[in-house]
Amino acid sequence: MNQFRLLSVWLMVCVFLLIQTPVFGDDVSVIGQDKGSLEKAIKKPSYSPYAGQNYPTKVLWGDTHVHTALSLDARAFGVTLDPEMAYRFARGEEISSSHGERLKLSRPLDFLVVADHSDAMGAMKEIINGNPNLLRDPIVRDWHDRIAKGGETALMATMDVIEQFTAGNVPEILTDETFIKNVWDDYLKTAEAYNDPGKFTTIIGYEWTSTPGGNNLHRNVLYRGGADEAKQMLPYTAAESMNPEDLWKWMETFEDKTGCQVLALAHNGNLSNGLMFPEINPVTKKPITEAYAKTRIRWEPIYEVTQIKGDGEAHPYLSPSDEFADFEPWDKANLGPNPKKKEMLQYEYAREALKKGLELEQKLGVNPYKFGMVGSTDTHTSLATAEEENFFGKHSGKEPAPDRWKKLVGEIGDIRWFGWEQVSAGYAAVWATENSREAIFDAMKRKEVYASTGPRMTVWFFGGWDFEEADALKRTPGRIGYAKGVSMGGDLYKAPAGKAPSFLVASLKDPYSGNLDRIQIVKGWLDKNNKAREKVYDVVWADADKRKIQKNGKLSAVGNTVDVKNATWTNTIGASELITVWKDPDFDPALNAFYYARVIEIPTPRWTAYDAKRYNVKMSDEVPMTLQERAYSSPIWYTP
Amino acid sequence: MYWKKKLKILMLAAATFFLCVVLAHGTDPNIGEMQVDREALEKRFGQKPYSPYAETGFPRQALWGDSHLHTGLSVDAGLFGCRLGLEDAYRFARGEQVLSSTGQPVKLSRPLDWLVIADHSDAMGLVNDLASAAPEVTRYEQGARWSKGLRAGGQIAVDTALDLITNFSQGNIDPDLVAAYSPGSKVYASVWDDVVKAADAYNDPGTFTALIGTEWTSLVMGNNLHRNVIFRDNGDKAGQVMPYTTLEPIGSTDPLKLYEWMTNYEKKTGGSVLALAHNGNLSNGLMFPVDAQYTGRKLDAFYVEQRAKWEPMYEITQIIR
Repeated sequence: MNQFRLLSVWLMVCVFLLIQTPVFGDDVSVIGQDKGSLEKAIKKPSYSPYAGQNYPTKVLWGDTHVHTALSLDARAFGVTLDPEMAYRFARGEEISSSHGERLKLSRPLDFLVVADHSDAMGAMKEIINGNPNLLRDPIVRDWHDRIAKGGETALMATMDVIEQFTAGNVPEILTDETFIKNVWDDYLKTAEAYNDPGKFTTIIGYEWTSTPGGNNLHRNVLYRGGADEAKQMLPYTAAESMNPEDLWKWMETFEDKTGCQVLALAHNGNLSNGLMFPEINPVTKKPITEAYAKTRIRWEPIYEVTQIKGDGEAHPYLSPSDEFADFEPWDKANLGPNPKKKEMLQYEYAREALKKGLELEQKLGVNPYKFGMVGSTDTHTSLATAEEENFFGKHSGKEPAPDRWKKLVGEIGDIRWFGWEQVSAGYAAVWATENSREAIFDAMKRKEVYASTGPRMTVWFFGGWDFEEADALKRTPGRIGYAKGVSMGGDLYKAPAGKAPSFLVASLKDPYSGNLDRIQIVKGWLDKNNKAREKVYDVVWADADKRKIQKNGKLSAVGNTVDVKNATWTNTIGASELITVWKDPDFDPALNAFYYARVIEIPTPRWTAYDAKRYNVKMSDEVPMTLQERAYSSPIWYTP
Repeated sequence: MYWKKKLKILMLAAATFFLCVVLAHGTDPNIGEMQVDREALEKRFGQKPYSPYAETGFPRQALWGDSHLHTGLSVDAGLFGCRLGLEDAYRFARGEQVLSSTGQPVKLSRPLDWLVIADHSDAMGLVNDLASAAPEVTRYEQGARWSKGLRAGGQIAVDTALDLITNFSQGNIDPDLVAAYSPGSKVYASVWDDVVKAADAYNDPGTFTALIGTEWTSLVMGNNLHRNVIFRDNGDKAGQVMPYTTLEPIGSTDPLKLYEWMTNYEKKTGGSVLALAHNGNLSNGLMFPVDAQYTGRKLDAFYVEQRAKWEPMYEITQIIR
């Protein structure tokens, strides 16, 4: 019986533990046999600190704004990659760009919205491909033949196509519903094929590209549901109307018809020449109404605050005392040839709009600009790149090349934008409970989202009345944050007597990017004359043993380790994480206010520095070579 | 010079890559017949891509897992009161909340990326069947008695467990009962089938990997020589064999015999396995021999080669410190 002995020795090892812990008999009776005691056990807080948590614990990263070969202009600029390739790249695959350059993201994104222009979606691609149905039209055939000749002839033909579309002179065959429906159905089929909940979500969407007089009023429309719903109506086009109020009507009709929710997010207020966040409705020329405010905030819960065509959080003209307000501005003009006037700026930037929202709420009873914030790229390359070291440009004419920095990225009239002015930004961070269309959409609706200019730093931001210093010592800010307050995008409860709001704010750096310099809280409030004011507080910062708030009220700079020549830096300054509880020292419970967090990284090389190093080119002195990347949380509002 | 000339390449599927190279700015779509500048291509192939993450090929993300987890299928785990099975283990590891055997809700802070369920191969599933009074075990007098005792709970269950262990150590067990829970029996085959099927069902590449495994629990006079065996393969291969056990004559406590079993597995199925040992700290000097194997045989080239071949890694830290 030798074999039994072997087993028995092994079992004896177990015995010493068994004798000390005679638990198992009782346990059997607990499970399934004594329901009462089981229920009691569940109600008690469990030993496992992660059991029972039903709040988002992992931030999801995505891009809500990628154009592919289906966009008329993108295809004209040379992108040949379809939505399929956009999804494959975003989910982390290595692919070839339209120019055959191999590229890959540092890490997969969690979700992607391919948001091609709804006007003439797929048209340029099909003209170039020579879709036989379309070639029956003599104009289309002419375009196709000229483009096929290549070179200057093709370029002129391409410009001709764009001009004709812009002017509304579109051959009927291209506005034919069958053609448009085929393109949309194909788009939806691809989106369904690549939607893989839990791993990678494809959110259905399109861009409604309203540009009256060159003023950018663009909105991306995002769907909560799938192809079954989205295919029931064709996307709304700017050809049908340039007025956002008509888009909102379309959205309402769509929801009524399909039962599927949609939302819209605008972008590039900086190119709207004062029309993005109006006080006077540009259509009626009268002050915006309660109905406008209600409808707008119903459909537009979030705003794309940073992207390749400039950052839109704040402007130095509007926020002169904010030394970080001058970040990658695009403030020369609108998208037409109309130069910017200073008085337009107040209607273009997010912080100012949040402030105007408080003022309008006093007049209208509704705050039309109570939005959350995300970043995205608006790339026209199919490639959702926002990292400085991996930037593939605004469109396929601006993909990596030695001279892309000095070539024009856009030219309208006298207004010119050069390659170096492109901003390698941004991404949308979403605190969703899971990686699915529904969960991401719902998080956007509740504005539990934030914007990044590229790096994937984690940002927690909670507001309440009872946060205390000790709360910043926990390793799970979400646990204490949700228990004692509201997350970004939420509203503070009514102020308890004698209390000021306190905020638990934390950030964890992106391991691929720079350390953190500081976290700031930006406060906007209505003063006693119902005039909106703002203040930026430095609330927690790195290297605190050496850095203090100076006499002028400013925190001293974090320093700079960037070696521009080699496009490197060291994380020897800054912090890998920052967390604190901050209480508003200037709180007045009678005044409306909002608060949002701004997380600033230490200086790192800008994409231009990587280009200069990799291509060994010398750029002119006006070209910035470093930047301080950042994240903007959605605000938390206080209403008396 | 012919090679200095531009080559004409027909638009074939195989030429897709070249097409991409040529479609610069897209306004030059010479569809039907494409031209490639050979010099440009040669230059390109000599260069790194602009994207620092392309064409690197190395792993960029560490995947976290546990290569050593026992469920209620392990005799000792079962006796300690573990009532969770294969599915519970996988669901917990991939981030779901489960109820522990003591009825406590429990969840990981974050999902693991992979898991090896490595239940003891000896008598796998026996205690599980005792606890659930499965007919496979209650048809034996001892089995029925122990099953009843374990299910009674409280002190009776503890006494029963001790009785079971005492009988095992004295060799007073119905040989048929032992055989039923050893490789070669239908019961054992069905337990292993469950193990393999559960792994296949929960294996979700890209999200969560379930590696098939088992623990070969060699214990020589109390000296721990345990090895976990991990399969590279899915159930179609791992299901073709029974795990290796320590009970003779089917199994052995000698690692060389384990290596032989591993060799045979790979030969038979074309699959791959590896072994990793653990708890040298409980081996009383036997885990990493430099002179003689525990059997008394001197270390020879064969032992050294075999060990290095089959045991590429070692479990260096775990619960029993």
